[in-house]
Amino acid sequence: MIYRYDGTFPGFLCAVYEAYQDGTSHTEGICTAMAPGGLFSSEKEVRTASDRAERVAQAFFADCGRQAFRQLFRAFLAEEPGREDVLFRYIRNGFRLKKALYAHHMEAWAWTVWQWAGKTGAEAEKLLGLVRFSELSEGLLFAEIAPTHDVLPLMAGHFQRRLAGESWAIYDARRHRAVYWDRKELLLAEVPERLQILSYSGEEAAMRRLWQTYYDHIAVQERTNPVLRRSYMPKKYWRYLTEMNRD
Amino acid sequence: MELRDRLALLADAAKYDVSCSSSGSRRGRQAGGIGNAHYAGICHSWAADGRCISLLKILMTNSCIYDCEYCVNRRSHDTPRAMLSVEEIVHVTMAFYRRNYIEGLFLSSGIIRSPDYTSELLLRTARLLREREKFGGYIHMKAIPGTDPKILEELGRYVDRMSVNMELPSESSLKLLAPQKSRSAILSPMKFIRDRLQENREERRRSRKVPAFVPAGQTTQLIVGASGESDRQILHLTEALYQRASLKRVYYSAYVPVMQGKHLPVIARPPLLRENRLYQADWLLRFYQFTADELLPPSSPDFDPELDPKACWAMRHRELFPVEVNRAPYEMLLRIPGIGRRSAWRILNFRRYGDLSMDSLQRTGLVWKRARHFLTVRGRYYGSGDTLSLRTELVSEKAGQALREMSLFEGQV
Repeated sequence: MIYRYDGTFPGFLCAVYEAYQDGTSHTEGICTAMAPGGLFSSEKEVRTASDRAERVAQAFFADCGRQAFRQLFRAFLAEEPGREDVLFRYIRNGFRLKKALYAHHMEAWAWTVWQWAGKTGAEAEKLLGLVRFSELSEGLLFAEIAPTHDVLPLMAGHFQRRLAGESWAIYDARRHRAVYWDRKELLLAEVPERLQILSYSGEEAAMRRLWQTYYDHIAVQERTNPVLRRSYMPKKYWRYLTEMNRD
Repeated sequence: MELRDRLALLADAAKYDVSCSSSGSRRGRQAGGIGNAHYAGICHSWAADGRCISLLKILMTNSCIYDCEYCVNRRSHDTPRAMLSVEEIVHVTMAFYRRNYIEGLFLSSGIIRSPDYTSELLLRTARLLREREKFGGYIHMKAIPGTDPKILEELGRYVDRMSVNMELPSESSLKLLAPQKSRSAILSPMKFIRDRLQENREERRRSRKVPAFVPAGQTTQLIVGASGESDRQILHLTEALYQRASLKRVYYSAYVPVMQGKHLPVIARPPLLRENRLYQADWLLRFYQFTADELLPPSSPDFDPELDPKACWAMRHRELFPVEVNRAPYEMLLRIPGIGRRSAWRILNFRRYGDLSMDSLQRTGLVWKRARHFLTVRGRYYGSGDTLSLRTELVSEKAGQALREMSLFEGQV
């Protein structure tokens, strides 16, 4: 049986739920709705239901612990090709090994999961610094990013704590999704249309120029080292950095 | 002068202070306020020199009553002078912080009128940020030598980190290059902060309501290459600062020859390699349980330009190696070249579930190319034992090349 889900983490957990319902020995794979199908295998559309996802998540958390669940979630967000099968195996082994899952984390099947989780975590951490908000005329702080991994869910909490009194939004231009904080609630929404910008506040242009000036002057000329800079701040992030884009 | 021009000037004047970190504080957001500290610190950008930008690092003014020969802001230097008002600093800090350009403010200043007068201005800035703007982000400020301890005491309650720069590693070079400053004048605010930190820790143990004093501790900076000290002297000083003054960090700044003076060395390029070696050794002191004497014994008072300090130490102590990865204690794992804190920790972790194989050893992230000469895996040795070829193996091709290029420019002309 091949299970087709909607590409979200809850959807994936629902597929796992159904696979367990049907008996995991019949499972041939889990994939997104778009993936090419097998010629002779039977397929099943998985309906995403939050209570089912919740049950799988709770069970895995209770059996294997907080860290194992965290690694699972982060590895999923890494969006590596073939993630469903690797993670399904991880979950199955987890339910079998329970807390001893951790003892096997250096084995190849678990190591991949840890590596993916690490990548997502590292990118989220880096982007906490590299997000650049612009102030729009109505006071909203707006930022755009295009991360390699789906790090938006991991970043939202940080800005919620830090900028609780502001309203802000971060738009993931690659996945057409945004988190929005309206001073009370955090909202994760699909934004299919590319956002049209929008008018900036009166001070915005001046502040950008001021930051660019600062950026230029804080470097020590005698130590110029573009390779070192790129290794910390890869070019793929430059597009959305105020200091690397001059108009 | 326009704000932008002054900011440019005062960033230029501040950039030779290399301290960049925004770590070590757990300050939370105030009710109705903005900003908090991230314990590990966050880098927000990297400048063209590859150094991270975490805090808005500026001087309040680059005017100064002192005339220290190595300093770009010395009184006799013919350069434009500027000043930012307290309100301007607060405004720019808040505007940058909201846009997530920075993690907070690192404010230093040339000394105008008197140390007390200058420190009062710093204090006013910190107070405005914390009290009026309810700013919870990171603040790092300079403790200016010669300031009344009462002012420092108050400043310490608003900021996360304070630093006093030693700049010159010995009394004699201080006399030569900064005759208006004395070593005791520099050390006394450092001691004051250390003592207050200890007291504050005690007070806070009794009651959490006591406000924290400089929660992220104090740091200092040493200029490398402006005066004649050996690496050994500098490293011993560093060790003393960590042990006796309980500093969080010692920063090293390769002397950039922007100034000319009769007591200053004439060099074509800043001694970056030497600075790098000092940082490597600094890490070995703080995280790898090495002592300064082990890294630089009297017989070799300077670092080897080709080999990092840890590899040098291991080469001098061949009798201790190879060690078995499955048996060696943590302290010994840390001393193996090619194994860092993370890989040593992983080895310990993996070992709890049985002996490591070659496969699982590779997954600890160690640098096999280097480590293999110093360890055995399940009793088997994979390295080359002969000292001469070992040295060539450890000096990486890339490092060797970089070194040859560098030595063409570096050093005294």
